[in-house]
Amino acid sequence: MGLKRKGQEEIGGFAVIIVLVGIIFLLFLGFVLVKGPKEATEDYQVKSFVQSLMHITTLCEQNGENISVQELIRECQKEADCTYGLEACTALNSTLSDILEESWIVGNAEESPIQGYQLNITSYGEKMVLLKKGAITSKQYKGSGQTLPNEVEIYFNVYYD
Amino acid sequence: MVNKLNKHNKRAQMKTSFSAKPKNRSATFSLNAKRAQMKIQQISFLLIVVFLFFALLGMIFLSYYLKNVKDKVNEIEEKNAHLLVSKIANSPEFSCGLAYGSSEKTDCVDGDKVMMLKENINKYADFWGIKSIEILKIYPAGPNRECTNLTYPKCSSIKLIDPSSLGNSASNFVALCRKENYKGEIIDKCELAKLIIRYEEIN
Repeated sequence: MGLKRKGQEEIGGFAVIIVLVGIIFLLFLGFVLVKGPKEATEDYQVKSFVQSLMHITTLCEQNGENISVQELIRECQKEADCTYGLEACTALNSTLSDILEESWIVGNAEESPIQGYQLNITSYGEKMVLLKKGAITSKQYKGSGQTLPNEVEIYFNVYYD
Repeated sequence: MVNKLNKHNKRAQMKTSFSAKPKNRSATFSLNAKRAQMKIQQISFLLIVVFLFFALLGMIFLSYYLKNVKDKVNEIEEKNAHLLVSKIANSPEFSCGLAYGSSEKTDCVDGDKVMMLKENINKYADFWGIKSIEILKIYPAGPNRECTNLTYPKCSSIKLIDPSSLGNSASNFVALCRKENYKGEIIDKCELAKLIIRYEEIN
């Protein structure tokens, strides 16, 4: 009878130790796995891309001078033409498309971390240019926006794997 | 007579039982000692296991903590590098200033200025504290060759400060502008480029 009681006590003690160790282990696991909220990182590349993009000289010529992307957007808003009869909006679309193609290589996860991009330019809330490529449904994306005079808004998002 | 014999037997029995008692005591004592030893062994074994468990836990925690510190250091390094790229692009040695329009442009690099800087780069070798600086043209795509006094502006990359060095890199998009002679007139031309810097990684 005494031996049985002693055995029960030992099992009880062992169970207490197991429970204690288990709690400590779970606390440790919780500490390791639950990280604090990740700091939102500003994406310098996307921001600098949009800023630099505005200064690029295009093939659209006006008054004997090749105009910049920013000026071309303004001309497109006015539905103007370039010197050689080319529509400003057509020139803007093709220029932006070429620049995006050269700057952001979209591929599968092994080739490139960039899964897709979307450039949206609106004028008074209405669509002016919408260029997109690849998977733009990915939850991870970095974006930048810029506002130009005459209510022109530029949004550019890059989607990552 | 029989009674006497019985009495004698009883005494003898009592004697033997009396003499057997110390033997039982020592057996009980040795059994108790064995049990105590077992108990001590059990406790010491348990202590060793608990100690090893906590030591392992501590080691995992320490390695995780150190890795976190290292990651944080690299993250800060990367952030600093990005800031440095922006700083370099907008520094007087690189920036367009007011040369390309009435207002100062951000992330605009003066190509002509950079070519002059390339010639005197030895004076700036340790100025920015980085391993290399390179400006890579992206749009429009030009001939794939390094920019020198002979090839500029029909080239694709301007290399400054030891471009062969390895290390972590950070880059920013910039507008690479230059003055160009077009039909006898000086015009501004800006192209899209990437300013790439390389810096040392903490292992």
